[in-house]
Amino acid sequence: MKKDELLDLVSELKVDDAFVDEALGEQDGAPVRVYAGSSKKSPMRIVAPIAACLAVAAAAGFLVVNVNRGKFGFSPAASIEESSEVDEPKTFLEKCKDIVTAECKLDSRDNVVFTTEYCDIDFDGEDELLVYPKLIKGFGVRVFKGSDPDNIQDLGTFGTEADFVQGFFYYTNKVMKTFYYYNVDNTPESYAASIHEVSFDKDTNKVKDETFLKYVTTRSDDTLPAALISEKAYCYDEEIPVEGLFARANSTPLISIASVSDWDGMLEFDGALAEKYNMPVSDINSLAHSYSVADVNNDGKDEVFIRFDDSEQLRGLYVFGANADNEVEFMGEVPHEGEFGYGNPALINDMHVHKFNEDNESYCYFVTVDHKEDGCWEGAVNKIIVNEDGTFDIEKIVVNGQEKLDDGSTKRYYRVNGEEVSGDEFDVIFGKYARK
Amino acid sequence: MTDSEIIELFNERDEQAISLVQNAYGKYCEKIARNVLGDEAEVGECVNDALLKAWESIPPERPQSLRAYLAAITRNNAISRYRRGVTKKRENDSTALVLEDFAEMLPASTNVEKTAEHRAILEEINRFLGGIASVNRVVFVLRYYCFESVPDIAARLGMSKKSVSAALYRTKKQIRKHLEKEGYYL
Repeated sequence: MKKDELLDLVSELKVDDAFVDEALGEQDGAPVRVYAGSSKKSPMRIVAPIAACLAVAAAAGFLVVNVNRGKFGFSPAASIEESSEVDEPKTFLEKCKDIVTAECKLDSRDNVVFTTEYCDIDFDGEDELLVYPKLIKGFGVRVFKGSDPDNIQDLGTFGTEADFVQGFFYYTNKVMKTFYYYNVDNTPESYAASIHEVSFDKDTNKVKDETFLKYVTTRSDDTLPAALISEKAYCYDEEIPVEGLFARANSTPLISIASVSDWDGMLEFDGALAEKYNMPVSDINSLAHSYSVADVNNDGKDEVFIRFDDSEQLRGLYVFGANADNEVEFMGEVPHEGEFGYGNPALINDMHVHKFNEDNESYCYFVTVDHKEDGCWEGAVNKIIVNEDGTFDIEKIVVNGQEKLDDGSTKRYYRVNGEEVSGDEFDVIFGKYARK
Repeated sequence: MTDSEIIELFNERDEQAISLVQNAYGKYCEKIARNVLGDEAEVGECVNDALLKAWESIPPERPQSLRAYLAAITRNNAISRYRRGVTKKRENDSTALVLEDFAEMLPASTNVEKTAEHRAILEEINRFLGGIASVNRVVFVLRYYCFESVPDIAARLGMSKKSVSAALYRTKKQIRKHLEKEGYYL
């Protein structure tokens, strides 16, 4: 569809007033600057409320209804401030875009859609600037460092193998100091996604782009892509042989399939849940909210934990793993109460299943916060127990909360393995589980 | 002051109505115009025009919600300006991205006879929005009606950018499915 036709269509989109009110919500109002005259050359700014301009206009004999478009309340007399056009020096961002424009061999930036992201890609504590022209074939993502427009450090380009870097998402593994990005080529005819790991060459201080996991499919029947297949895995610079569908690079708990960054692009779990709950697979996929990976049964392969959005049928933590034939298999549900959180209970609604390794202990856990009535709540580290029959249970091993006493007052409590501890002792123990 | 009381001032041609509307809703209008146009001087003129249109149209119009009424006028003004190319070309044309995004829900057709069908589709979309979860509806309206960027929507609603993108993806998919069921893609 041509741009003009799209504009016609979008301009005709009418939504109920109630929907607009709901979306815009409450905000403080603020006086709007009134501009008069041409915006192209010397904008003349009237920095005064429109009502005052109306008064001036009325006094000058202008009727509001006769005021020309763009000159509402304009009086040519006293209250205009003239400002002349000044060439402002270019910002760091502007100059970086200029560099990319030149490298794309474009005469101007007209019709180029630039996307920019800021992230700490080299993990030095300062954000770098990522710039990519969305529709320039094979250009990739340019990385710049710095903030002074006269001192731009060029860190190179990645993503040049992709035709177009479109749906760009990134994920950083701060512990491993690795940066993954996830490129999507999404058209009505096909859906292609690939995940890449970007590293740095310390000698040249430029980015290097290596494909870590790759997945491609076509979307002819409007279903989501099939399960992820691992091609390569890396631990630091060493390539590790892949075993099975979900591979762990080595035995450290810090390596996992962190590059699976977006459930709705990468994972489809066919059959098991659909059969169990008599729901279409597409509905199940649309309810999947977030994921996490961990080796819950210590078989050397990661399992994938999917958390689903609220629905009557699906609400919880579901576990999928690879069977002996490397096929995706539904392994069961992990019961839980409350909302998921990170190690810090203040970060609610984001699920993460961790692996705990200390003193020969190795198990998976996740954190929840259960909100109760009257300001009472309980946060817990939930240890996942794998039963002999393959089902899952949890044991609340570290707990803190607020409870109501008989006299109506509330009290904080701290318990580790069922025993009361002090707040300070709790902090030390909980700190081992908290996500860093 | 309520919208009804402000509208009464419009009816009485009391100029205080303009400053009240400006104070209460000027910022919404500015945001929508800025989302589409990007150029501050254009934003100012666009909002100016919207307030003038409101002054000229009330009465006889008596909108239920002044905020929504002004949002609609501003939006239409901004799109017209964008179309005319009055605005300076933007290096990062977020409006073009919104249009491309929106188009994913619709059948690709340049047939003039399809105009009536397109209008019906838009009405169907509005009806469909009434039946979905509030958060998904809000995200949809902010994106395709108000032209807000995904990061701005995320910041406004306290969501992650990924959650916003996922919500948009889901809603568009549901809308497309709904339109297929209603026979709009035959």
